[in-house]
Amino acid sequence: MKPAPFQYHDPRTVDEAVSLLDELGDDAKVLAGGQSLVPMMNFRLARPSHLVDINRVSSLDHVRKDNHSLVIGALARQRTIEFSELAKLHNPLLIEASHHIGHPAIRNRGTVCGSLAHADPAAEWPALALVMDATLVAQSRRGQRRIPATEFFTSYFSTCLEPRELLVEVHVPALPSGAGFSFLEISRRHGDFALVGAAVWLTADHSGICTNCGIALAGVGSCAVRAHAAEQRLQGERLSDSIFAEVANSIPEELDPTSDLHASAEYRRKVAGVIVRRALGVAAERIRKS
Amino acid sequence: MTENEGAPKDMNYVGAPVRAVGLGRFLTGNGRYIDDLKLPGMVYLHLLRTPYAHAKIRSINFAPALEYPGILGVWTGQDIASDIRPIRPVLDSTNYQGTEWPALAREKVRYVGEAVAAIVAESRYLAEDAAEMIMVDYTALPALSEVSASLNSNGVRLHEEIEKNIFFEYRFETANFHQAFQQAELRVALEFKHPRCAGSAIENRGVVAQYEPGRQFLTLWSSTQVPDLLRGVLGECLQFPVHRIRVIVPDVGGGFGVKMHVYPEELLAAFLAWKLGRPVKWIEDRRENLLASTHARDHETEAEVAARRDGTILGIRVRDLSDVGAYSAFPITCALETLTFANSVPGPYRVENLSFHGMAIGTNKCPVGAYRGVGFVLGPLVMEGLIDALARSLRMDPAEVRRRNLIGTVPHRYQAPTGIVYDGGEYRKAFEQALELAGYYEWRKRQTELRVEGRYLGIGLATFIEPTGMGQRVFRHRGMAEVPGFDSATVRMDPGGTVRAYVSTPSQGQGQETTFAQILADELGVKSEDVIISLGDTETCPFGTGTFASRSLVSGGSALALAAREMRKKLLCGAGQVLRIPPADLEIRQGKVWVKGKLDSVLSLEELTRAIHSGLYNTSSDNLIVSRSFSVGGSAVSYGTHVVVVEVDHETGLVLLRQYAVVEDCGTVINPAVVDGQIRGGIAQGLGTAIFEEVRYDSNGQLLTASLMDYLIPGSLEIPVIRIEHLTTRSPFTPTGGKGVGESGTIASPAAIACAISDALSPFDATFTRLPIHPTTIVEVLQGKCPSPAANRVDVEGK
Repeated sequence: MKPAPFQYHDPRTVDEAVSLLDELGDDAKVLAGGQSLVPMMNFRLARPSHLVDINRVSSLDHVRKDNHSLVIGALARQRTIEFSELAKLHNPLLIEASHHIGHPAIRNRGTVCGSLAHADPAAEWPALALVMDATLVAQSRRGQRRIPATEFFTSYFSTCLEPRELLVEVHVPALPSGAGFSFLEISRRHGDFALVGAAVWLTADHSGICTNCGIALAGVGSCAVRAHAAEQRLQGERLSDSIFAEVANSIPEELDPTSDLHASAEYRRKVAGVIVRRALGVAAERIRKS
Repeated sequence: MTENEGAPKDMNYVGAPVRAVGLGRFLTGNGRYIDDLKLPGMVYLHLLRTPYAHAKIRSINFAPALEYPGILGVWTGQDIASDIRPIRPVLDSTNYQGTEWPALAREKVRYVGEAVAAIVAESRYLAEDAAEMIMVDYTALPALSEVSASLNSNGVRLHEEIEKNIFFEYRFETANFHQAFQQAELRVALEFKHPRCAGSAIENRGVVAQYEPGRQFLTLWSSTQVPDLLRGVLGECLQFPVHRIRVIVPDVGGGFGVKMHVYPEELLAAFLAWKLGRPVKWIEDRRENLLASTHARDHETEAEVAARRDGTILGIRVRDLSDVGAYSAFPITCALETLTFANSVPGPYRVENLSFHGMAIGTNKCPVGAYRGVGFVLGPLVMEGLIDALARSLRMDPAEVRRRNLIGTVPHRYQAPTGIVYDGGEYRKAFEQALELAGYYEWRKRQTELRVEGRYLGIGLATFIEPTGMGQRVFRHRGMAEVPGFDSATVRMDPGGTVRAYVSTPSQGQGQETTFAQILADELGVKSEDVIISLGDTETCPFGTGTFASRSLVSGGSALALAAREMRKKLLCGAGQVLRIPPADLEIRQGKVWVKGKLDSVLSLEELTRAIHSGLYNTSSDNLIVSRSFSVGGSAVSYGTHVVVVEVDHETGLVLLRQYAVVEDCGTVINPAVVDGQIRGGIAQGLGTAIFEEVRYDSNGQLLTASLMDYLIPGSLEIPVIRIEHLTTRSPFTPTGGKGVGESGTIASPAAIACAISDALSPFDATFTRLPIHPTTIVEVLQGKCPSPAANRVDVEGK
């Protein structure tokens, strides 16, 4: 379990990094936290000829508030979000989800943008990006482009990011004020990738009618999934256990999961409905208590 | 005379939670493991492993690899054929077909991960790069990827000389078995599956070999559990004089039985170091560990209980097929699982009639070897599963059925129908105390209350026996010709009055440095800080069997106690001659010699050893060194009961362990912290077996679980709080009164957890006897999409 030979590059600025990517093209991989890439290299499943390590590009190490969004730079660690005061204030859903990402040692190194760029459909961040309608910012020598999360993920471990582009930051909108939220995940052990994960948020008016909501799922297909039909079913309805159950019942039809060693497709489909129902219940309870 | 006579009265250390010796070394990162060893000029071994489960090797072209920088050489099975003999463990049984496990595959490969070429390079990186340049031309053969394929193979053989791929077969039946089954009022049958497991240590295997041409001497550092046995195999397979081989075991991060086997890599490293004249290191990585370190268990079992309607068990019938992979592992062979399963079936229940038929079938998978608990795990899995099915069938409380069948108080010894002699003890008391510790009847009430809310609690009960430290008689009876069965200890006084002991049972982290020091300090009457325990070096330690089968305390600890007693006599005798006082009037306490009944000591051990070593006193004790060996007669049998409470989320199939209670009797507890640690660690592994761990192959014999992302070991967050209480019936079979405790946690817990899950989901009429119990299985069974193994009840006509 030693990686195949590769060249190591150590840029200090975004310009240097994107110039390297421009020059090296398909042969290069970006190293940030390395929590997925390095094991894959050690298994020789990934064998990039060049590794562009962005850990010393200090301008990417930031989490800030910009208008209504949290802006998370490419070097911000998952652990930073877990303990971020800004996230606590503006989007506690991100903090709740962070607890499900691996273990503290993994979160200390792993980055938010790295997880997004890796695009594991069972990971937490792709589902969070979808449910919050996040915008991802890619930079190349030719400039920046802003990619909506809905367009970013294309398939298993695949995104629309070009080989010459660096994902420099992600803009995650704040939760609407007064929103209830919940992140639930079923995994075989603590810290494992989700068999099924659900990220939800919802808002309600004074009479308890749902005014807006987001429901996204992890682990149930080739990409994280936004459950649009379920969201539409919920909007305009009075929040109640029975409507949550009804919404949840429609979830399995929206999904096309696969089977693996850890769970069958049928299991994922069924349990996705179960945890959406439970997550909606938790979110509604939070609205009531707030 | 019993072995306990002569034991000191003023025990100080035994029984106390003495802080582990070496703790500081481990906690501060100063342990010294195989991979910490760096020798001048050291080179690195890497193995090219086959991706085929079953294939003929037509040719191997490694010329391009030789051109790669830093490569010292490449060797194939053909190249070493006359240099390294295959590993061929012996079993004295007519029902055993032996295998030859070559260090590198020759004509054909028999499992994915079998080594086909050895590459030695200046670094492991270079060796792995070069391995990719070796071209092996294979002709694929049909993969015998499961037992049914091997038994119906249309003439395809794993080994040319073994017909039908049956490696071992064992039948055992008590004389009145058929009569008992006919007399039964009902019979309940169930099928069980124990998964193939990988006994995963934190530290994988590793070896460093060094050859000194001047002395013509070979030194092997290995993470082995059996240095003396390894030394013998090295001598035999390399045809190298054994007296010129030294095996050293450094700190080891867990063994669990997987490291009690001798492996191809050890032979290769030794041979290549000898050949190249440079030290050779091989460190197993996790993928290799999961591919090619022995797996364990892997049973499909049908079992049936015959009983009366009052719950009295009259007999048990077991039919077992175990998948033992491609080769028999040294030294215990593929018979281990079958034989230990057969011996464990009745457990602490008074079952007089037993019929067992087991077969060990060869397949194109990694060889099966020992793993903590061995076949003893199957006994409780089957017995407790059958008892629960019987209880449900009779609408009786599962605890009541157990109570009715448990052997009660055993004053001295109990002979089970298997032939195993159990130590005296209070078998039913352990059970009742465990029910009380767990709050069994309160949980039953809570279970009823919660079911109304749609929540499913389950309570699992599992009793066990753990035969430990098996002695010479057991291994001769099993025919395991290459397991001596005894262990040895040498005690030596240092000139400063301190003591050093050398024991033949090395440590894999179980704390022998601590527990052996406690035994030695008490037996000799010295302070434990004045004692140093040395383990794992064939140059200094006396010959013995090694550490496995919960034997280091029973076997090595006993030898140590006997040697210490002899040393005490020697010291008293010497002190008598120095002081001109009859030795009978003297005693040793706290590292000093005292005249009995007097308040002041007369001589420190430092003064005494100096006096003896000075030669001035012409004592008969000038040689202050004693060696003793010990083999327990049969085995020292620990016993007890586990009670676990689980809550099953019936919508997601997730299982939460809410409480775990253990009451057990391992005789004299030398160190409660060490003993409880063994039990907790064992339960963690048993939890893995119950719901997480399974080595999976596909129908082509490809390993699907080649990383720890797919082979799931429980982490600390999965382990519940475990409450433990001890009964302490001194074993009559060991000088310390202690019995082994290394495996009981693993033996009882899979059964307890499986029973608890079935109990929780009994309202759905679901039974779970096939491990590991997967969330998908639970959900699909409850939805009626997957059949639950049904208990098949037969009421005998006219009864």
